[in-house]
Amino acid sequence: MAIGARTWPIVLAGVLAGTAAAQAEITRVEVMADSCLACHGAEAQGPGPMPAINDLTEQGIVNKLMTFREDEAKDATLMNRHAPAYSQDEIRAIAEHIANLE
Amino acid sequence: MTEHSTAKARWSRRNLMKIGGTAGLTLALAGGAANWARGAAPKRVVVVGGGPGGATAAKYLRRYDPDIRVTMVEPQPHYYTCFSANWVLGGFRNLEKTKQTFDALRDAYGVEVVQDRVVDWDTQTGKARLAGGDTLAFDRIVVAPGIALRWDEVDGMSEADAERVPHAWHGGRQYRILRDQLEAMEDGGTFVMAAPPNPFRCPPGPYERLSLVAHYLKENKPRSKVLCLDPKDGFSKQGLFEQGWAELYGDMIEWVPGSGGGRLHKVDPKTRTAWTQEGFQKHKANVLNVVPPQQAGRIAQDMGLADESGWCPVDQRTFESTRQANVHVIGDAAIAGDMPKSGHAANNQAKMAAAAIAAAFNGWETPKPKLVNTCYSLIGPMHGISVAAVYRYTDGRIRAVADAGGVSPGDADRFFRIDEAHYARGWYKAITDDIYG
Repeated sequence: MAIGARTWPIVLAGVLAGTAAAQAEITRVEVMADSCLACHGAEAQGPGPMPAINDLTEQGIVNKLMTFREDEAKDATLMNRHAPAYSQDEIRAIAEHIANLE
Repeated sequence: MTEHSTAKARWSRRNLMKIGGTAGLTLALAGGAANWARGAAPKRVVVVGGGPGGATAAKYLRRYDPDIRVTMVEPQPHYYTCFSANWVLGGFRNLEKTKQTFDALRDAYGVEVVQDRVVDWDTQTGKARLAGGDTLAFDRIVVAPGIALRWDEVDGMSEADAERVPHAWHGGRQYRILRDQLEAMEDGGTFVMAAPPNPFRCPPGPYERLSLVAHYLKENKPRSKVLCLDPKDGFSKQGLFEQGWAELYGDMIEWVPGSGGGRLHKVDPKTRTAWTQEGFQKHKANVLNVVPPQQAGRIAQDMGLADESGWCPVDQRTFESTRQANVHVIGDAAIAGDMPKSGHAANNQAKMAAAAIAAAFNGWETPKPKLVNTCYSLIGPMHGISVAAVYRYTDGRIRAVADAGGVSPGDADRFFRIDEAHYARGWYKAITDDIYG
């Protein structure tokens, strides 16, 4: 196929675009996890006293959220009021999402 | 699995932008070029307001899709938060700690920050006019104007009297005025607050203020009194507040409900006098704080986004106005189902609106919302309480999820209250990082 005038911009854009061109669709899990950032910090880094959650394993997050959900945690004052609003599936999905953030 | 790579990509992009303006510009150009090459429509959003709603929307639009060009228009050079400013009145927080800048939005996220005021816009031509004379092109507008105080509903005073009788229901200067008045007050004086009717910005706010004024007075002017004249018969976290007041301040705080004659009848700012009971009951204050009834911010009224209630009806899934296409209203100004008017709610709604706009631009499905509100109040510097709620969108409305949420336990011990006092400060650090950091 000859490279005509219309194709060059696409080629050029493709070279320049790099990571910017492909946008990832926003999932419900991402939206749910983003609501955690208001208390745990913009990067889930925990400016404190709410702890960092961006360095936990997926299973660690699941365990902790499930403990909150069953109101069996003694080390938080509010999470046991949040966690019951999420199903086990949602908890697993949120945990996977947060554990895999860079 | 795709979820991993998309999440990583989203957060890496944020870090890429942090490297420097050039990188951001290159990405923006590349994104633009890619769009142009694809023949895609431009993606331009104007955000009206730099408060918790507007700033979060601006940031998250850029996070969700750095191809979106975002211009945030805010009249003030900085934003002084109202939340946590009651702690300044309590005497244990500096007002400057409530000051937030737009530097990170501009430098790390590539938001174009314009210090000006949006005067009007035309959704047909896609042009917004600024008071300073410039015009901005847009595909979508996010309106986050906060509240306007309804001075027309306060008999005897106007906005011009707010230096003498401060409301301190916007951040910054008004809190300095109120704080200065409290410091100048003599021991044995009376602080009188007229609380607003529902709905208003920050349901526990007036009662946190009563608490912390009482704290300051108890420490420094212990013979003084705190009086609240309230048109309402109940308020947010009331049981916990009254329990805390009794424990910390004895009988220093008196709260008069509407049914007990608390409705404000008239004010005389010159003498700092407030009347209730149709004028039959007179209250002479040394410091008078009138928090007027409220409605959506002025631009929302001017542009016809508000209904007869004075607040803005929206599609509660996307926050798009039901009165104007391509215009989204978030935060205090919006009617958002069961959600209260709070900074935390504005922050969360902004993320949802940003996601909905990014989805619309890219032809994605709008994610179904799950929203959260968390609100900490300090009854004393080491006595914190909280309320939490999670919301789901069902049957056309944002509804609180049953069997979740609620206030701090009434029978919690002192150490729990101390913990929540620490968490209150942590919440402020985290949410201002999320909005402005």
